Amino acid sequence: MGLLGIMSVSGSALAVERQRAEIAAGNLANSESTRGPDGKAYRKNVAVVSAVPAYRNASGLVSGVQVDTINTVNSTVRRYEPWHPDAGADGYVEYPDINPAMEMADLMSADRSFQLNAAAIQSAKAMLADSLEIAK
Amino acid sequence: MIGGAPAIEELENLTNGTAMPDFIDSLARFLEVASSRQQFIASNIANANTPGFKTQDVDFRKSLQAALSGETNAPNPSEVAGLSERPDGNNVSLEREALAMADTEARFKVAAQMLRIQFRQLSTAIQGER
Amino acid sequence: MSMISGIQPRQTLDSLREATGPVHSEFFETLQAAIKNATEANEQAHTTAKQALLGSDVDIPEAMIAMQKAELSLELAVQVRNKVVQAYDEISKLQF
Repeated sequence: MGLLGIMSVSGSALAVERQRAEIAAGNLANSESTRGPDGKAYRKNVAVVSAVPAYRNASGLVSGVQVDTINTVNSTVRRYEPWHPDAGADGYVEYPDINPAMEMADLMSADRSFQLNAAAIQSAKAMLADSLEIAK
Repeated sequence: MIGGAPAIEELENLTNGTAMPDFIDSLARFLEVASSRQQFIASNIANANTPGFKTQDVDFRKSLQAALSGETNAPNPSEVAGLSERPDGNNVSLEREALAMADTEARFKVAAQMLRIQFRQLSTAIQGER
Repeated sequence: MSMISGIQPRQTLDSLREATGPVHSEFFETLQAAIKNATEANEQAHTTAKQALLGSDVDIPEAMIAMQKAELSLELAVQVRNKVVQAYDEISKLQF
């Protein structure tokens, strides 16, 4: 596979980071959503990622990455807001258990990783071009 | 000194004897090591957010030295020491990987250019008779 | 890789050297010197190249320059050899 392998490894990461970014953005957008389509408070989504063997080179096993599942975290936080239209009989409202700062950090992390994975692909392309020069 | 025959022999040695092909082989080995390293760096970057993932790298300096001495075995990747771990066990540092990637790419390019020159030199010698 | 020898100058030069004697040893000295230069430049280039590849950026321009020098030295040596062969060709034609 050689340098071309980098395309598949980094390529797999681009897909994963994009998903992570989408999930973080969705969590951010819905961090105060007390009533979703199911009538209940929004639940935070979390991507579960793991390394996946991509191919072997002369030195060993090179791994890419994949999203295994997208889990919904089934927790909420309760705030005492009896005036709220979605307040229960006890005056408490269920809010998503989302920390916007954390989601923002995840979003930025996904963006940074996306950029560096894209750079890795560029680097592989440059090295392939350098290889072609050898025979010129 | 009337040494016609030895002179020609030296000229031949210069191009097709011991010196040149060894160096060409060494450069080729070097490119393989650099390429291999870049693949593991790409893998590290891809798994920057994978829980529990440990940074892998080849001992670049040692592998390069071995390559330039004609060693044919591919270096085995190992874990990198001195990296700080996040709570989930992942120890990938994007800064470290970015630097390593740039360094490897640069050295690869230099070696590729050198290889190109070596082949051009061989071509000159082959075409000697104008 | 012996095709590099081209027209087998070794044979030609040997027989011509015997025929013409020590008078034309200057040609050989020039050739000898050119080859020695090329050999040294080549070794220097290899050493510098290895340093540059293993070390810091400072050596890389040095290494590329050393390689160019080696390449030119080789080209020079090849040219000198060609001229020497050519010269002896002409000289041999003068001797009936």
